[in-house]
Amino acid sequence: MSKPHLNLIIREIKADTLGEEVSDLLEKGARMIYTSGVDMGVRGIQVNYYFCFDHHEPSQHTILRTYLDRKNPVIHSVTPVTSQADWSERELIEFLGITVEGHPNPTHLWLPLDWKEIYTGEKPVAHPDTERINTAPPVKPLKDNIVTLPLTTIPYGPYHPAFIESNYLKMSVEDEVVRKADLKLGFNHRGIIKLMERRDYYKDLFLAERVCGICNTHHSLSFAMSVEDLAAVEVPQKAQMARTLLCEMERIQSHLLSIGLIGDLTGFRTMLMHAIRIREEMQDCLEVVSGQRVTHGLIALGGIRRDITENQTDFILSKLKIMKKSVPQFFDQCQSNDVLMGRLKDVGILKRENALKSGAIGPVARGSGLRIDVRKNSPFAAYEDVDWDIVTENGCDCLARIKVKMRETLMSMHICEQCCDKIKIAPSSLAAKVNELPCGETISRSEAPRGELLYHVVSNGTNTPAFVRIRVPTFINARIMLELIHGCWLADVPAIISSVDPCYSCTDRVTIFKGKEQSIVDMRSLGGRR
Amino acid sequence: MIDAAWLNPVIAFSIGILLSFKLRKISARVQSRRGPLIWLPDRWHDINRSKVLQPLYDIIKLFSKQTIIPSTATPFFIAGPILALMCAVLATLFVPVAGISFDYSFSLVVLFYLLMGEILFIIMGGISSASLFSAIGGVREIDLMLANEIPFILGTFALAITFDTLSIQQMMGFNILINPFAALAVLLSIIVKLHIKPFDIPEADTEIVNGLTTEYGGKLLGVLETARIIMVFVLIALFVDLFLWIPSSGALAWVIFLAGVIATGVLIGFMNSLFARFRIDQATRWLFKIPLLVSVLAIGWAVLWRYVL
Amino acid sequence: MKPYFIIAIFILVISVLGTLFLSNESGMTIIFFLFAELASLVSFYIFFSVIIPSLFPEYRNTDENFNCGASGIYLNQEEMYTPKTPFGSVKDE
Repeated sequence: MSKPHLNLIIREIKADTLGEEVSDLLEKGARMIYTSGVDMGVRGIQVNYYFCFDHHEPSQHTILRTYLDRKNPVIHSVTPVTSQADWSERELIEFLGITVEGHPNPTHLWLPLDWKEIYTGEKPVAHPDTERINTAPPVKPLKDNIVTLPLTTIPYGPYHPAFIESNYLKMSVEDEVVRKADLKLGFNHRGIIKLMERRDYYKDLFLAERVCGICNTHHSLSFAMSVEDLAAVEVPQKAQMARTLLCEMERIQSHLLSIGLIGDLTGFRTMLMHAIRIREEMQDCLEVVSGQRVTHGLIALGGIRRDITENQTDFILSKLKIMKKSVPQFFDQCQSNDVLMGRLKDVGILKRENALKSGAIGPVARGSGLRIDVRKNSPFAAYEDVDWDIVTENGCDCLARIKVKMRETLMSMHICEQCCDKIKIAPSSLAAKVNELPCGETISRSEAPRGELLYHVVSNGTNTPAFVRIRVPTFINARIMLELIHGCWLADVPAIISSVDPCYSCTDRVTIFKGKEQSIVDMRSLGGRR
Repeated sequence: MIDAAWLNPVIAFSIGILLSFKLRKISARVQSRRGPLIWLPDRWHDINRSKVLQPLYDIIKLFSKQTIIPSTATPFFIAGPILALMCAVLATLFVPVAGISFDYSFSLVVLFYLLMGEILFIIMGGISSASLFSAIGGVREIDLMLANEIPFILGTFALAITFDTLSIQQMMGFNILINPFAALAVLLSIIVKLHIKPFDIPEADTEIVNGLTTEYGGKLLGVLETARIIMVFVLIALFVDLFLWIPSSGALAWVIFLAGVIATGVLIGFMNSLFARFRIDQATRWLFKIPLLVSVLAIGWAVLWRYVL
Repeated sequence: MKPYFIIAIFILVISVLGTLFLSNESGMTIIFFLFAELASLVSFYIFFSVIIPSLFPEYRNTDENFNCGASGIYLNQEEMYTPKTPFGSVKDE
C-alpha cells in the first residue's frame, strides 16, 4: 500500500499575465484554493495561486507563482474573474501591504479599519512615565466601508450568544430582513504561522494541533504528511490505519457537536444536550486512544507516536456498537421535530452552480450536490483501503447541510469499524524514521470536518521550515456564509451560521510579516490582543 | 375583617417559585441532566446549595446587584418593570386561588386588562432602553400579542357566554368537558404568553440577545423576574380555575387546585423542552391558523349550547 | 405595511361597530365587553407597531465600531440608538 503520488505542478509566470493564466485554468475546471504571499527577501514577494483539479481527476494540483517588487508590490486582482480569490487577496493586502489593483472591496478583514493611520502614518510614541502607547483612533472620521443605506444596522459581536468564538458580524436590516452583511475577524489572532518558522519540525507538529481545538488531528496530520512528502518516507500501514481511525473519530465528534449547535441556535436546547450526551462516547474513545480529550498529539512525523492496542480497538468497537443504536435514533428524533425542520428547510439556499462558482468545500458543497471530498479526490492516509463513499444531498438548504453531516457521521462510524478491524492484523511497525529533510516544497491536503485543509510547507534544508502556509476550510465557507445571509430573515441568521459551522479561530491564525520594523508592530497590535 | 384574598400575591409568588423550579427540573430531566436537586446530603451543603428554592436565590442575587441604567434610556425604563410587577400583583387578586379571590361581576374584563397591561409595560420599558435588540424584541412581542390575545379573548368569552356572566368565580368548574375547544385555545395562548419554547421568539437569545430585557440588569431585572414568576402562577391558575376546577372547599379545594396547577405545569414544562423556536412569521401564521380557528369553534360551540339547543 | 395590519384594522372596525350597536342594548353586556376588549387590543397593537419602528435609529457613523477593538470603545456614542417618540428622548450630545 503506497501513498498515491501527489501531482503538483509549479509554474512561474509574469505578474501581468496572471489574469489570463487564472481564467485559462478556471476554464479547464480548476478550483482556486488559496492565494498566499511570502516575503522572500531579495527575490521579492512571492505570490502563490493554488489550484486543484482533483474533483475531475485525482490528485492534480497546480501552483501559479509570481514575484513582485518589494519596494512597490502591485498585482492585478483576479477577484473579478473568480470570487474564490476574494478573501485571499484581502489577506495579501493586509499582511503584506501588496496593492491589489481592481479588487472590488479592498477593506480590512483582520486588521482594524484605521490601522494605517494608527501604525504606519505616525510611529506611536510611548508615554515617558507609563511607557504605554496611545492607541486611540485618529480624530478624523473613517472612510465608509459597509452599508451606506439608511437602514438599521445590527451588530452581532464581538461577543454574541450565537457565536462561540468572538468575531464581528454586522448586518443592515430592514424590518427583520437582512439587506447587507459584513464580517470582521481578527479577535483570535495568534500568529501561529510565524511561530512555526522559528520552531523545528517536531515542535511544529504540535503547534499545528493548536490551530483549532476541534479538528486538531487533521491539522497535525496535514503538516506531518507534507513533511513526509518532503523527506520521501513511506508511512507504515498500521500508522496509516490509525491516522484514518483518528480522523474519522474526530469527524464524528465534530459533526455531532455541530448538529447539536444548530439545535441550540434555533432554540432547541434539548437537541444540543442529547448530542453532547451521545458525543461523550466518542470523546471517551479518543481519551482511551490518545490520553487526552481535546488535543490528541498522537500523530508523529512518519507515523504515530503510540500504538493502538487490541484492548483499545475493542473498547472503540464496543462504544461504536452503542453509538450505532443511539446516533440514528437521535437523528430520527431531530428530523421528526416539525418546528426545527420548518426552521431549516428552504433557508440559506446555495444553488449548485453558485457553490461551484464560489468554491464551496466540505459539507457546504456536498449539501449542494457537489462531489467534493479530499478523502476521495486525492486520497490520503488509508482512505483507499476502506469501503466508503462521498455523502451528498441535493436540497441546497440548511437542512441538506445538516443531513450531510448526519449521514457522514454514520459513514464515519462505518469507516472506524473497518479501521479497528484492520489495525489488529496490521504489521506492528509504528513510524518510519525521518532522517533528513532536503530543500524542497510540497502541499498536502486533508478533509477536516468542515472541509478541505491545505498545508504548504517549504523546507530550506535546516531544522526549521522556511515558511508554512495554512488554508483552513472556514476561510472559504465563511465568505459563502455572508452571501447566504444576504436577504434572509434575521431569525435565520443563527441557523445559517451554524449550518455552515464556521471556526473563526482557525481562520484567524495567520500573520505574514517578515520586514524587521513591521514585525514588531505586528506582534504588538495583533499578538497582544489575545 | 381583612379579606383572605389579600394573601393571594404571597401565595402566587411562593407557588410560582415552585412552578419555575418544576419547569427547570422537567427540562433538565428531558435533556438528560440532573437540574436543581430536590434534596442534598448535609455534607454537600458547602458545595452545592441549588435546591427547590433556586429561582428564589436567583431573584435574591439579582436584587443584591448594582443596577446599570443606559445613558440613552428614558424614565420609562425604570417605570416599565415596576408597573408590570404591579399589574401582575393586582392580577393575582382576581385569580381564584383555591376559590379565594376578589370577585366582581366583571372581574374577567379587569383581569384581561391587567394581563395585557403587564406585557405592554414590559414592552414600553424595553423599547425605551434605546437598544436595538429591545426594539426588535418589541416588534416581535407586539406581533405575537395580536396573534395570541384574540384566541385568549374568544376562548374565555366562550365560557362567559355559556354561563352568562363575566365573574370568574361563577364561571369556575370542570369546563374542559363543557367546552374543550375553549380549553385548547386558552392553553395555547397561555403558552405563548409565558414564552414557552416554540414561542420564545421575543427573547430569542441567539438572535436578539435577550429581546426586550437586553439592557436590564440588577434590581430592575429582579423586578422583571418576580413579575414573570407571578405571571407563571397567574396564568396556570387561571387555566386551572376555568377548566379544571371541581367545586369544593377547605383542604380539599387546595388539593384539587394544587393538583391542577402541577398537572398544567408539567404539561407546559414538557412543551418547553420538546420544541425548537418558531420564526416570527411562522409563529404568527400558525397562531392565526389553528388557535384562532379553535377559539372561533369554541365561541360557536358556546353559542350553540346557549341559544340554539 | 405589515400584512397583519389589515387583519388588525378589520377586527378594529368590526369591534367598534359592534360596541356602538350593542351599547344601547341591555342584555348583551358580555358581547359588548368582548367587542370592547378586541377593540382595545387592536388599538394597542396598532399604537405600538407604529411607534416601535420609529424608534429604529437611522444610519449614523456605523464604521466607528468596526475597528476591531483598536479604539477603547467598540460601540461608539455616535452610534448609540435613541428613541425619538413618544416616551420622550435623551439625545446624546
